[in-house]
Amino acid sequence: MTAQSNSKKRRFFARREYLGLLDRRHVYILPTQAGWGFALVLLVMLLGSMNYNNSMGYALSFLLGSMAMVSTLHTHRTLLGLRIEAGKVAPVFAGESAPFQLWIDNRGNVARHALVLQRDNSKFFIDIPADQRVSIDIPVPTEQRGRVFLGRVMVYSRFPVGLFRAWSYIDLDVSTLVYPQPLGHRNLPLGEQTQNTGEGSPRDGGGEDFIGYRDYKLGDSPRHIDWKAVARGQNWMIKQFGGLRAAQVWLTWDDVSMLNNLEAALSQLCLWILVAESQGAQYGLKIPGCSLAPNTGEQHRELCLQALALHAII
Amino acid sequence: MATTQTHSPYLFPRLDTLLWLMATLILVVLPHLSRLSVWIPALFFALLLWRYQITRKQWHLPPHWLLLSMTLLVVVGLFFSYGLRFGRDANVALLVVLCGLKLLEMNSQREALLVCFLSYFLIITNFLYSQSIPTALYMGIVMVVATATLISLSDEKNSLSTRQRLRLSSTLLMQALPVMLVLFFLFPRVAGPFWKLPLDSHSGITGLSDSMSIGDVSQLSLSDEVAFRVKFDGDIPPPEQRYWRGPVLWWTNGRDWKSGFQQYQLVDQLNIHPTGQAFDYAVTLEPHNERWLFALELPIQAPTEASMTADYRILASQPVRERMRYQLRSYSHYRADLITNVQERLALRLPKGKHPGARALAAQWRQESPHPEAVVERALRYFNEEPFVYTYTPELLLDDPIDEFLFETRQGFCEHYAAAFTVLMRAAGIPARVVTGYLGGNVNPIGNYLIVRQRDAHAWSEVWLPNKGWVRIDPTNAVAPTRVEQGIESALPTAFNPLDLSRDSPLVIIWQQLDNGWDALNNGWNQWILGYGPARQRELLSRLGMPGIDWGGMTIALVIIIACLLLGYAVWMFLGPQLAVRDPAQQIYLRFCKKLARLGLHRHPSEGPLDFASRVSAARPDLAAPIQNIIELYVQTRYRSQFQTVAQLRKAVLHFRL
Repeated sequence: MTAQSNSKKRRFFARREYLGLLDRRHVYILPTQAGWGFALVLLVMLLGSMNYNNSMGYALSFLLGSMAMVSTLHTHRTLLGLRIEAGKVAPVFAGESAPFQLWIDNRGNVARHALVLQRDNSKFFIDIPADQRVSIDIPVPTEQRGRVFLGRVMVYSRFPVGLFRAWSYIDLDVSTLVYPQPLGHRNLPLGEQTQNTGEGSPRDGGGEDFIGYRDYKLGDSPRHIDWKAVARGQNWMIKQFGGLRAAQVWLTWDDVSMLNNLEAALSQLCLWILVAESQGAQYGLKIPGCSLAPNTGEQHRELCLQALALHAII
Repeated sequence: MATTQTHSPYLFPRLDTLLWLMATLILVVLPHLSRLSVWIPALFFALLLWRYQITRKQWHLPPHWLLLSMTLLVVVGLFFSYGLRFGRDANVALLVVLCGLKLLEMNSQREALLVCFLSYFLIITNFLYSQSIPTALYMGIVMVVATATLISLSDEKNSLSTRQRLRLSSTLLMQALPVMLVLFFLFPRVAGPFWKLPLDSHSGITGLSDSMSIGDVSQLSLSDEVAFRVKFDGDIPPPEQRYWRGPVLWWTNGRDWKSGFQQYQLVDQLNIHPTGQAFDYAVTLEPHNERWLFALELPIQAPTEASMTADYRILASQPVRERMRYQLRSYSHYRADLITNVQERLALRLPKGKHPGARALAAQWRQESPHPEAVVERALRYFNEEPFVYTYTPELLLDDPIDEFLFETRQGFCEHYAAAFTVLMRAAGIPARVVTGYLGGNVNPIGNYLIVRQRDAHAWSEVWLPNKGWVRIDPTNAVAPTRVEQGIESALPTAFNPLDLSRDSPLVIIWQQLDNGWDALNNGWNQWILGYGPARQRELLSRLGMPGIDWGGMTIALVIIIACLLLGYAVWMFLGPQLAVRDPAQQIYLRFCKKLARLGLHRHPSEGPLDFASRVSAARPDLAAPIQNIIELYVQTRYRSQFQTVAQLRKAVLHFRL
């Protein structure tokens, strides 16, 4: 099948909007290649039976033909009444594949076998027992930062005898963010702190950068106790230092302006954010159109990465 | 539960699918085994075993050149086994071996499907040999397995058990059955064949021959095979009148008897004058690969599809290769006067220098009384008074079979008596000929028809008497009258009766009834299923109130009926489950609430499960633990989409006792 006829067919079959339920108007069915072959075999058998006046030959040909006809109902039923909803999907970095979770709800009392979900050219096989709801992850490969959409997923089945294929298209409007790929050779811009080597990797121990907390143990220096936490009535925690200093880091456009490529610049910023976060530093992001005050934590990191992902994307 | 695994690069198909395929192939080939040359099944099973080992031990598939050369070798082998005329048997053999070879090449869904289709083809080849009820039932089972194989091929994740596959396959076929019946009866039938059938299409079909040889080891067929069945419109003639006329033998060399060139001679005027009772009947003749048809003595006219010869034989236009049904009218008494000059000469001819004893005896009788009828009487008296024995294991007759039989051994069966009597008549100057056919037949009370079997084969004589025409004389009647009156069983020694049961013992009667029932079933099968052709179809349609419907009309009726059937299935399959669609967890929860309501603990419509649970637990502390458990499971199932706990919830509610 050529790409052109494929797209034509799609347009023809995609007139009705998908509302989350595979009902009769959204499930299409046609013979498979094997089905056409089977029809040919049947025709030959029927001609042979006519020629030999063989009643049992007639009976067998008709039985097979009837079986094929009845099988269309079974094939159709494999898809009919399924409810497909989008589940969670986490953001990914460019180059990774985004695992879109789909929930397939089979409220009928018949198990659905050999369902195939096809997105582009990758196929995923799944069985859904009667009266159950099952999730399946569809990994969507990403290349560029920005948004990635699940897009159209075809769900089909040739069950039970492979002579017919019932299919339907699911257009779920789900997307996730694709952060820039964390890449770069530059050190974290720490102003006067230039002792970092390599690709901004943390140095073990000895440093003065805050890297996290641990429980208080006898003999710990009182200077490292997190008094603020104690004042709040929390446990006694010891601030651990190492790697980078618990200083404020501003990640700005100027730091990457020497990289002429926008994507390379964003990749560098992305890497720095990850490093800064893992080191426990307070980092702020300042790029055109967006300024995030220094902070730390998961949520802050997501905000920063989101800013990078969507930067200058129309 | 949900995995996203695609196919790993293993050899297609999986072992279980391969076993299904092999089971189908073996079941299909099994009935062919006895019909194939020995080396073919051997090769077939070897190929199957090889493929099995390939999949199990993950060997490589054999290279293409090897398969190709094997195929060529097989074709050469087939020519050696079956000769250059590549007929039905050779084609079946080729198909069987090709299936085996295809298995060794199979590495994709497509090829596996092809093998499946080939196995369907092999099923149909079995029907070229036998279409009996047992064969049909066996093939039904094979169909279930073959379809289960298709299911196994489509079951990508191998999640169905063997039982589920068989059940689904049976469901499919059972649902297909009504559609198939509609197609079978309403699909416009045409009369074949369209092209020439292979030469050996009908080999192995036997029946009465149109020659006999006196003195050879028993020519008498003791086969129980059905020759034909007869359905009478009115009365069934009494046993002694059930003479079924077949080939007429004119020519003899003293030992062999043959039809001679008279056999195809047709005349305009048959000169038959019926006098006795008329019988109307339909004969369903089993194929015997010859042109003649059997008729009760004596029909006045040939059925439409056949013609009548000058010696009152009915000839079909083609050898009878399929079961044939024809309608006839016969008269129990008649005067048949036709005798041409050629016929008279032939009917008096005896081989020169043979049978001196018989000639002398005939001359003596002729001298005693010149009247032909008296000579006939004398001859019958001779058979009756001399110590003749009716036996189906007579002694061999060597030099002059007729004289040896008449004067020395005096043992024989109908052929001996008919031949000897005819020779005596010819020697006495009375035109005579041998008529072969069947005598008797058993009435099947269940279907109220007559079954005539091969063992009822018989031979008798006809003599031409002035003013009377051709008169049937059965010399066997003079020796063993019970043969004529009670059928062949009474005349034969009871060799097939190991338990020494009398004919009236209850076991024999039950057996007889079962036998009759089975034959009636077979007769119905033959008439309505196997014999269903254009004529039967017209008959059925006019019975259904659609006389004279043409094929366009039939097609429309067919499409409408099938569409209704499928629609019915669709409603049953789609609407049924959809009405039942509800959240299973909620359903179970409602059941649980009903149980509690019986205790007087009614749930407020706006009350959530957790509030309800705490209220009920407070009211009935004794039930608190199970209630909390159920509610917890419900909340998990319903609100956290943990379908795994549905079963647990169901069980908990089921076991919840008040």
